[in-house]
Amino acid sequence: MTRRNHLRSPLLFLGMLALVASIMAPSITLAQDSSGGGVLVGGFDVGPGGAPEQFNPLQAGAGFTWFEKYFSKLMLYDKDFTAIQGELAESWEISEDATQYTIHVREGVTWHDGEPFTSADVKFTIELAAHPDSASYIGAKFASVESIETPDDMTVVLNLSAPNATLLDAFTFLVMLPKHALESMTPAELVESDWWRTNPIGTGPFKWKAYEPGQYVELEAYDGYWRGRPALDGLINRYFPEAGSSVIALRAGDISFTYLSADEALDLQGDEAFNVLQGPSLVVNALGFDLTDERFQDVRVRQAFAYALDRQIMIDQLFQGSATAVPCAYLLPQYIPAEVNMYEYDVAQAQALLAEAGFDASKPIEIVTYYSDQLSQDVLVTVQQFLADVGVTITLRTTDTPGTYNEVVADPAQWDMAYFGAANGPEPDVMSTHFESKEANPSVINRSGIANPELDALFKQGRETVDPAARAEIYQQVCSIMNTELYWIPMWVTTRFGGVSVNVENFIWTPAPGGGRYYDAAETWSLAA
Amino acid sequence: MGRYILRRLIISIPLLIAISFVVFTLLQFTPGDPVDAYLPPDIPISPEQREEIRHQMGLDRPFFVRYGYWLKETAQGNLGFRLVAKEPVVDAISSRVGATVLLMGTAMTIGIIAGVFFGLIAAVRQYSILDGVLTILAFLGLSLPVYLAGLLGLYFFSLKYDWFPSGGYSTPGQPFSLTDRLHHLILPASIIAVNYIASTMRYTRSAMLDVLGQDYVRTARAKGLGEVVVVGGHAFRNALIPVVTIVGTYLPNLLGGAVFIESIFGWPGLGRLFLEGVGQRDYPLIMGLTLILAVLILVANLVTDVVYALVDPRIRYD
Repeated sequence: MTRRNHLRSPLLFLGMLALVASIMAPSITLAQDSSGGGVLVGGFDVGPGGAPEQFNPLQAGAGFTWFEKYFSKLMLYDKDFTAIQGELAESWEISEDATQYTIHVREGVTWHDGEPFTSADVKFTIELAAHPDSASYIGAKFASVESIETPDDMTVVLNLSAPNATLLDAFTFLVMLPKHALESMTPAELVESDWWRTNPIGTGPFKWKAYEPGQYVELEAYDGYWRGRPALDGLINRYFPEAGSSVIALRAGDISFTYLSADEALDLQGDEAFNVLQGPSLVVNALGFDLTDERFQDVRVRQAFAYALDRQIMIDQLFQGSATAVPCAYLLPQYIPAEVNMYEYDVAQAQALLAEAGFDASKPIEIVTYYSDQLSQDVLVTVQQFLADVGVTITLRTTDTPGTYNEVVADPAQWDMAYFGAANGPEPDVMSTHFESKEANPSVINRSGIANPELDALFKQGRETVDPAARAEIYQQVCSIMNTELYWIPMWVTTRFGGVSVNVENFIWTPAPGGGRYYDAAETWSLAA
Repeated sequence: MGRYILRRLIISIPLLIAISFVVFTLLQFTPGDPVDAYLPPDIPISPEQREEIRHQMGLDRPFFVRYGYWLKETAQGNLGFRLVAKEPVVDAISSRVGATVLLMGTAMTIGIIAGVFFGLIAAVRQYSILDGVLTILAFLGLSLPVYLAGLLGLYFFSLKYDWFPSGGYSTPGQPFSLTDRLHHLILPASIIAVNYIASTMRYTRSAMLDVLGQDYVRTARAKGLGEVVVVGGHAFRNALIPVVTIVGTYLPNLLGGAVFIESIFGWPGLGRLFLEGVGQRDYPLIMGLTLILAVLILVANLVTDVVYALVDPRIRYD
């Protein structure tokens, strides 16, 4: 070997070492400088409330937590998810008969491009959402809006074709869109437009910065936000196709927030570096009956099934306590009457009712579900066991996707009972789609085939009543009927969890079906040094 | 040769149409439709609204109309829009193809180089302790589910030791840098490479053993040539022919990607896109990706056949 070779190889070796070292060195995840509050990275679209890489908020069924970071709505719930408060709407009046809404838009709100937000934007957004080409289920909530007037820049008047007291809740779904940026496109063009993922303009605390497909979306603080510039410099939403990987990223310090499964939450609870946030999912899990099946037409049979199930022991053992039993499809206290039957576990009662009703136990009953996770499978096997104890044979069937499930339950011949979740919330009318009869309202889902004139009348009355106290009374009656008739056996509302690093301050997160719809004060979120 | 290639290319056109028709038909038989996939099951929606969305997605038109339309547009280079994300399929694929080629290319390169190297050693030292150890490791590598390997890898090398980031393609919000990209690449690429190392090694080992027993190798040894020349010059080059076949079968994976690893590591590649498409019943996306994969497999087969002729003078196509 020559001298030069002697020299070269250690140099090469050192060079390779340096390269390896630089690759292995942990990279800096939070860019902080002295002037601002840093950038918060989180998995905001992880879990059931997320809609990863869906950017059209009129079409999305979820993902509102993230949408509300750059878009705004006229109204939102408070962080406890009980009362509606103004967001871009400063105030509003509803006519006595709930057929006219007058909304006063907040002054001094600007779009991210500096244009002022006015009543014309509100009119534009509602009309766009309600247009058939937008194919928006949110737009359908505004079907009763007959005409929209904008007497001045700050006032919107909605005239309805029928009384509708649920419109305020509908506004908590609808993000406001900029007329000046979108009016040149037809609704059909807008659906296919890349505006949503390249350059969306909102009025939220953060504005669009970058989208890296399959990786993340980055937002930056909007200086002109009407509540004042956010404390953070930016916000990044990282995508995790495998929910399990987001927890690893949280623990590794690469992100500061993610949704957690119950197991992960229990695991993280003891760790001082993280806070575990929790709240009811607002999704009622229930066992629904196919009422066109004559075996289930006798209410005593349905009640017997309820008595046969020890729900409390399932909550304690399977859910480790992270679920709450409910008496009907409602869970908020204002809609639950004082007198309800919780159907405490009672095998003797169940057997007596089945005998009384002359239940034919010769044919097995199939329970279909789209919940393919282990916990739900455990629940159903336990249900199977409890019902076997009263002489009822249950077979279980899990569909591969919610889509398959929907096809099965659309056809009464294909199912006997179903285990599912129904999104709930502060607005009790959402349940009308499941419980109103098809005669009263042909556009409802109502797969169980429920037809109860009393319920139909109450739901109609509820939509026409504006006063919250009077409404609560109506829905208490609804709950009472659900509770005795047991078209569904209401099982429980589970608790959902989120994990956040302790260095994130003022962070607010509440689980809700589809995420968001409450004021989470994102402009005050900050990172401790 | 030129005419042979041309003929093969012409034959592949009806083949591709047949493949697309089969896939399109099979998709119709998968239960569930995209409307359900993008609306959560617990969101109340009326049958009319559902019909409206189906109409807007074009799902209410008859099967042959939809297939004919797809074929016509595809022939003109338009693969349509993703049903849920509303992104052109071509854009979705082109924005993710680079990530997959990088990941799979790195993994395959590591896999082929290391696999051939270890296979060679194992063959030359047949029945030694080293051979035994390598064989056991190869079987471990082939049997360990890549899904589990991915999670274990993340757990140990990201969480426990913090050597690598916990998935992702780059550090969010940071400008592109090569070291950052490599830092994200090494762990997933190495985990995928394990499988390629193991299988390449097994094939190289048996091919080498086969060749080492041949008469011409014995003759070379009898001539008194050194072991390095015999193994490296005479045996190894001939053992490479079956190895080329194996490498040819790897090629389609270059685009097919690693579905599980891409999902676990949040790697923005085609494998994960495909999985997403299936979950969302995103027909145009599934069709587009299948078409591209089919083309690639046909091309890979053709290339392998042509390379045979180059490597082995006994093979002629006329």
